Amino acid sequence: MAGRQKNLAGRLKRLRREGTGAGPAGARVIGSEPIETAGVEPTSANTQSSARKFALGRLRERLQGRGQAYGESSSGPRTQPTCPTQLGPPKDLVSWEATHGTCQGREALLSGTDMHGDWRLQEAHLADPQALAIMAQDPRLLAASSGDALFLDTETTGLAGGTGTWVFMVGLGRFRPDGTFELWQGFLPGPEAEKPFLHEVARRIGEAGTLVSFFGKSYDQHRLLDRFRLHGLPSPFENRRHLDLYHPLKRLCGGQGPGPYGDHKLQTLERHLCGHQRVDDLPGSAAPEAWFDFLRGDPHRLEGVFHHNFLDVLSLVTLYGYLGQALTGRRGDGRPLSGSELLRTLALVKSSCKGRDFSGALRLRGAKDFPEGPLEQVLLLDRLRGECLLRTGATAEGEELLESVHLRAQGAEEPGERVKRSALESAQLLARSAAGRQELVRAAEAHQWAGTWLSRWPGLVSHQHAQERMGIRLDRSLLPRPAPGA
Amino acid sequence: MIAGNGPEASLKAALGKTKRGTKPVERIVAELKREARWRERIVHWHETPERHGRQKDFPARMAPELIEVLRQRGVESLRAHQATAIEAALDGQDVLVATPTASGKTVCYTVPVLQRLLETNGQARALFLYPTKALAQDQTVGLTAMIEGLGRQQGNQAFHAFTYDGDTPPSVRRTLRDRGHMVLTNPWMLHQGILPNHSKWAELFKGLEYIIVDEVHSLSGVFGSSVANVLRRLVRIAAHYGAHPRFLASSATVREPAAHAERLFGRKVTVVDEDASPAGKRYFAVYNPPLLNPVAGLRASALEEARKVAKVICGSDHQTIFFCGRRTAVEVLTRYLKEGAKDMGLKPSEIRGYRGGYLPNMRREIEAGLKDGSVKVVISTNALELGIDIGALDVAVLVGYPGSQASFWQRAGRVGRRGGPSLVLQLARSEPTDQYLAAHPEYLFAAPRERLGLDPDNLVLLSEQLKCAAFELPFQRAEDGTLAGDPAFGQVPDAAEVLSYLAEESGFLMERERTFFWMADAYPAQDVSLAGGDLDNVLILEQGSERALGETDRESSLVTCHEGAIYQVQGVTWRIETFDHKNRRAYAKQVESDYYTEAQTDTDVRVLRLEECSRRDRADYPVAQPMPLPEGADAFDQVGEDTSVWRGEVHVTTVATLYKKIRFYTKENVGAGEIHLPPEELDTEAFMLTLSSETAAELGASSADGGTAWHALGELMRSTAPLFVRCQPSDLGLSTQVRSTHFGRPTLVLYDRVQGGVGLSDLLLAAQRELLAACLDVVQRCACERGCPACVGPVEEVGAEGKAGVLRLLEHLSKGPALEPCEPAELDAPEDEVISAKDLGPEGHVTRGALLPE
Repeated sequence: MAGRQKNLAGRLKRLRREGTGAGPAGARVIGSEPIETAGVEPTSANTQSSARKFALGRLRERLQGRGQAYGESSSGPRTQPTCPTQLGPPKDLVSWEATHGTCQGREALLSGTDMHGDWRLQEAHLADPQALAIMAQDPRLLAASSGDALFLDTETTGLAGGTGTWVFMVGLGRFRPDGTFELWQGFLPGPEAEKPFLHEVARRIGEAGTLVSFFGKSYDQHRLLDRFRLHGLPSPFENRRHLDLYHPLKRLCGGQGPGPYGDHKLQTLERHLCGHQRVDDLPGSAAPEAWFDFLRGDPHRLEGVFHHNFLDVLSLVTLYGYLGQALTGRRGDGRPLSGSELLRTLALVKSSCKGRDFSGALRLRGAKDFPEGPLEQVLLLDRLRGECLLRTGATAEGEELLESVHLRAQGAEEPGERVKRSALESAQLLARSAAGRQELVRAAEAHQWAGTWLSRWPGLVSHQHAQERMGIRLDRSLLPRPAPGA
Repeated sequence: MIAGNGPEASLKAALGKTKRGTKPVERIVAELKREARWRERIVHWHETPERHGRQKDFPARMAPELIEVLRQRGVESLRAHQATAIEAALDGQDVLVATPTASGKTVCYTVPVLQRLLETNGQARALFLYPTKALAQDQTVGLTAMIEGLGRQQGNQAFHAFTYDGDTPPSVRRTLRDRGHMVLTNPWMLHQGILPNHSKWAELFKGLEYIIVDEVHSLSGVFGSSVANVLRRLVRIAAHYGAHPRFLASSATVREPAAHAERLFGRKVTVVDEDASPAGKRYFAVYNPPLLNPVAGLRASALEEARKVAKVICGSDHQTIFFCGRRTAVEVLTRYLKEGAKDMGLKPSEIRGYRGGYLPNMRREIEAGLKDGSVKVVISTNALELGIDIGALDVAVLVGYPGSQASFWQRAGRVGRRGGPSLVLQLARSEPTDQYLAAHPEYLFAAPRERLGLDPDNLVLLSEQLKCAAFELPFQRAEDGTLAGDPAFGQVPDAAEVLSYLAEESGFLMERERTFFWMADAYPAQDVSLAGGDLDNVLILEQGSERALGETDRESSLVTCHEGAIYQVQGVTWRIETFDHKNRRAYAKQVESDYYTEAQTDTDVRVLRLEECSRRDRADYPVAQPMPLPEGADAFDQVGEDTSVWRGEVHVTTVATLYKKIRFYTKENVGAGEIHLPPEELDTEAFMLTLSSETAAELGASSADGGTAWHALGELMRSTAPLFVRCQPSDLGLSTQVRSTHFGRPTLVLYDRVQGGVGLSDLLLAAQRELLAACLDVVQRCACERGCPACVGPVEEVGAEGKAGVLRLLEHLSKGPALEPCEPAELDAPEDEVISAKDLGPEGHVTRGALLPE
């Protein structure tokens, strides 16, 4: 039997073309990106997998931001980060008996006054739930508080998902009633120990009032759900408040396009917004291999993964605090938040409008508070305010503000696309408002302005449609009706 | 799908007849039989009379509302085979329905599924697998219509049928996973999308009662062997959720359908193969284009003949379909026919081409035009061969033999579904298979003779699929170290060893406490192709822009991607500038070239292990007319071996040596170059044919001319093989030697071109006698004098004596007593690498190779 088995291994090696150097199939599968098969008949599998590859590539870029410190924006020579290495098993690992077997993990207690970057952890307590709810566009967050928040970050063996992707570390941080911050890191010491590990993780998530993560709604939650389902555990995420910091922070820092902080990755944001600079951090992309090494008896990089996960959770706390101050723009000690206040205001107004809270949006600051602001941002803010005024019944004031947007845009030298867009939209809003009041001449005038702006910037389909509809409406109302029978 | 079965359909047919006056098909047949120019071309007529179907009542278990839905769709009773299949399926058996196209197979599996849905109040689930995306979408429409019929009746919970494929928007996927009672998909989506994410599909798997596999005859070769493993994975996942689904499969008529299904599903199935559906009168005509040059064996082009005969068989009062082998042929013929539309009394818009690569909207439009009768003529590739609903047409023209009997019948099944008369015209090309069929039309109508090659235990495919399976769920070893407890891979030989290998050597898995866990940062299904070999393909890119021009497989890359090779795409010539062999990429520059290149390769086949053998002695069948011996030599004794055939493992090394530049049109040689590429290595299985030196000398096969004939015989066997083995000639590699290094005598090797082999050699060994007889027949009947492409190859290649030489070989090899199985080790194996099966088996008992199923 043994001889036969050896023989089989030899045959397999030969057949799988492994270890011959000439394109070993196995090695290619692990490391390199598979070749895109362009130019061949697209079967469903091809299209599916290339779309999948594309999506994965994007996900990978986004998530690796959590690991690759020192983003592109920093000038000067990049230093290759080194990470702590260790011999022997991870230190301070404790085991305890849970309902379904032995669990392993590590727990640290930090003081609320401890610093992460230039923020103290306890500043999270000052977070205003209204700011969180507006920016996350989720009214359920009005009930959130730092006291019931659970800060969650996972380490997994791959970004692709599927039931073969393991979650091997879950960092969960929360404030204790005495003000200390408890950072628990559950660790999966081997695949056979998954059941107690997952039960413990699910139990802890189940006790949270609000989950706080970074990109967790799109990623961490799904990886955990896959594992929970595999073990028949009910989803602890069901009906639980979940603040995914990724989207609100992205909005807060300049929305779509290349904002001032470029990639909107966790490490970029923590650096710019909370002043935290990582040193000696293990790149997140190296985490899977570190765990595989550990399982094969070589734990040298595992400490790095613990450290990395630890820092990620702390950044969640400070970024939560940052987001919670979006409305005031000031930290607890009165210092202003880092980053552009005008952009923050814009994001708040936009998010409020999206939540149809127009009077709330009007309570925020207006363009006159930013005399030095870039024109395109100032005009956009006023166009939004103008719309809010119209919607709250302050018609005269709203129309005046919208007209001023148009006039200021007209006065601009070489207005950019965003300036033209704000002016076009202001003119269209103005025309609609005036037509609604049967002020047809004023409506026709504004309609004409919008037409001019459309000739300078083609607009989106929705703009063109709005323009056409208004044109028809005005024609019907202004032109004398043909006599019956003519 | 179901429409067209019952009285509704015959009513339609009756209306058709009265409206059109004389039946167009009868009129066409009369004209083809009357006119001299057609009479001499049509070498064979075959008619099958009108047949009345045998009906059976609805099974007692069927819910009244389900019967009502069928009635509303014009089905008043079931055909006998449908009732049998439905009863067996409801009884919990695995069922294969192997009846011809249009016999109402869809009913056989939709009824049990819907019945179980009604019985379980919507708890049951079913997964439908179709070989193409279009087919799945087509069937979803039909199923949805039936469900709506059910829904209109009182109080039934709404059931949902969904297509799940690459086009399904992510927003729908979640609903579909949780609420889809019937999910219609294809093997690729199952492999890459559903199984690796099975926890998301828990609702489907928990209630899974039926797995429907449509058109299983298309599941052979590498693809079929991979799908068999995907089905093992599916059964394994279902078992994890506590479900033990049954297979309901349909197939065109194939040889030994039960054996094929058993290999595919890994269990015994109940076969229903008696066709009880009614059929109209059918005419089959085999059309052989006239010989233009009898000496060279040159016949008129089949495409050109199709154009000529179109004038007779196309018209405004009926519908005609042409099947072509290649997409370009479809385009050319479509243009021809549109140009000649007026002569046929048609508008050019009534003539449409149809093939893969057209946009879905256009395809739907043509399908609809065929159904409502506004399209009179359609020219298609095999894209219309599978069950897409285009209604019943009247005349089918097959331009060339489609390569398998199953395909032939699928295509023929496109006509005559309404019960009216229909005509199928098989047009022969100048190829050995086509010419064989022109001479032996009975082959088409006899019981199927092709054997389907399927080897789910091919080590390469198995190891890749086990990777995917391990990703989905860990594997557990039993006490004795085997996988006996696994619901799907438990009985697969070597599975446990393969997993050990993947854990210890490849590092994808980790074994702990007798359990294999997936441990790699990868999504294996993404990198594992069901068609095999994709990862090794060479991509041809434009130099500089990196735009992809094309792709070629590993072995062909030697002759198409070497530096200096001319690569042609749609008439544009590109020269390969560099070939990055390691990264499987070739870079080409567009050039104006007046020549193309032809590379020469040396193929060396080394025998690694012989596993099966049959032979006969010279005394059993002496050579009838031995070649004259050299002056003074003694005649050979009638002792020892005459000829033998073998099956075994081989190692194939292919080296490209040099290439020639050949001018277009004139074919003159205008230069040459050397090729410097590492050899391509292939480990596979082969069928081998040898002659003893004495017999070889008597047959004239040991001389230089004899070597040419010997090789020509190999080529002929390779091109004729698809008549008996389900494969393409290109699936087989050929190597011939007058003096083999292994056997020391003339040897002909046909090897499986898939790494590890997928069982073709096994099938060739079983079919060799039939194959040789067919080859003899082809050569004997061919009108050419000294060889032509329709038999042994053109005289320029085989030499003046080539045809005579091949004939002599075939006369001897295909006649006389059959070869007797013997032990492979009886022949002295000179090389020390050779391990005979005897050395491996216990107690000297000859075991078959580990790769092949018993």
